[in-house]
Amino acid sequence: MTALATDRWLLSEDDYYSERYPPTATHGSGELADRRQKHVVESGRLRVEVKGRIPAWLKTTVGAVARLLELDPNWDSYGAPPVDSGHAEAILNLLAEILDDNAPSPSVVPTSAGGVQAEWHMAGIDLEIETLSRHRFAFFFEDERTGDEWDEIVTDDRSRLYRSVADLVQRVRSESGC
Amino acid sequence: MDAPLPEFENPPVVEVALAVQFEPIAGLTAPQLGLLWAAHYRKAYPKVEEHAPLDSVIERFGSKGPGHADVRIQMLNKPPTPRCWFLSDEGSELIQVQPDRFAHNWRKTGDADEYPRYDEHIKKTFIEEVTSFQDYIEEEELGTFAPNQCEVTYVNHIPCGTGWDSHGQLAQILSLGELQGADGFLPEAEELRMSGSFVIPREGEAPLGRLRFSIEPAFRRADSAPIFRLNLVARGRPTDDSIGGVFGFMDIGREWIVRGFAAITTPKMHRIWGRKR
Repeated sequence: MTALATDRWLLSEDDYYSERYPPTATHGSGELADRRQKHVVESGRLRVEVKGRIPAWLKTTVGAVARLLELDPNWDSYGAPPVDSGHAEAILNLLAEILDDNAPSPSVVPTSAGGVQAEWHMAGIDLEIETLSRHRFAFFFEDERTGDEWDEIVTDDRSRLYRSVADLVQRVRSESGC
Repeated sequence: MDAPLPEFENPPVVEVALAVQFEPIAGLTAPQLGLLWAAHYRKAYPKVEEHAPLDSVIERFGSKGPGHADVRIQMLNKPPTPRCWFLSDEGSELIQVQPDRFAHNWRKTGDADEYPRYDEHIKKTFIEEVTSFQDYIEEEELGTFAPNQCEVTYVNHIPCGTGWDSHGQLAQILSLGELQGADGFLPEAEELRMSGSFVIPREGEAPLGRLRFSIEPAFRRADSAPIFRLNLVARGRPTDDSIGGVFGFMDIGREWIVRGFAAITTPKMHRIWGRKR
């Protein structure tokens, strides 16, 4: 661990160094450096740094989430708070975790509690994910063709969510012939 | 696990850290961190430093998600609240606070320093400090203290000449097979490093967390002596929703680290470190 001083977390990080072999690095440093290109997507108050290829869904979704962050208090005229930036961050982090590069972009809408909901209504599947906190999500899935339907609160075990998203992506791809 | 915990006369530990992560407390702004310091910690920790906040970390389970976008999100409307360091005069103890994390680090500052024992000092101090932190959040009405993850970290420095002589001799320290292979074709490795993780299960429920370890060759800055740096981190959910659930995880995490340390290291090193049981 050769963290920057500002990221330092342990006091003993100053007590050692770990330059690799051979010291002159003439035969390669041995570092498994992360050479993926870094991209930046900026929209409104949001700045997203991406290492490697930018997923197809990312730009439109970042733009949509950034627009939600501009909402004033009482945007629904029923006293809703503005969208919480932590929830905006949470939904983007979750989408980065569950969507592959070519997954369809979700619609994103604000919730009356200051959260964000990502949703897909396509190919006979309704899939909705709502932020409840930074690490807690409400998830609803309905497949009108198979009759499968469930909803659950997702925290650290996201297996079912992954499977549902995979079903959606597969269905959309098979129907679009991709 | 009723057997007594392994114990060593001279464990190679140089630093221990206990940390709790919680849902961000919106009211815990930079000025409030200063007031918190003045109210509770300034006397014992007179020095302060500002650092960039650490990212939130949660142990997840189940198969890995299909997404592989490595993203880092930043809000441009306001600078992030810093992570404040409150340091003791000698620099051996440190409190770190940011809007979603509270940690206490203990570090060995000299050869004569003894590792402060978990039950007698480390746990007791952490409980007092986290409790005073929680009280402050409630008294000042800054938000709700809702822990979501706990972490126990032990850092060990194992110097050259104590059971090993080159950075290729990792098998002297960890219970691994020799890497040269049965036919002896490969010479001794130039250097070896290793990392791994173990799931901490919980009966009838989702796993509690993980024990992670990593060992890497390094050099001590003071004298450039070769060392191996062995880190063990136990991270997971509080055992229940109360503040007691945080301390409950700390006990479990520390037990996993101590038993895990004894399990992955060799009997030869145990003798050098003076294993008592």
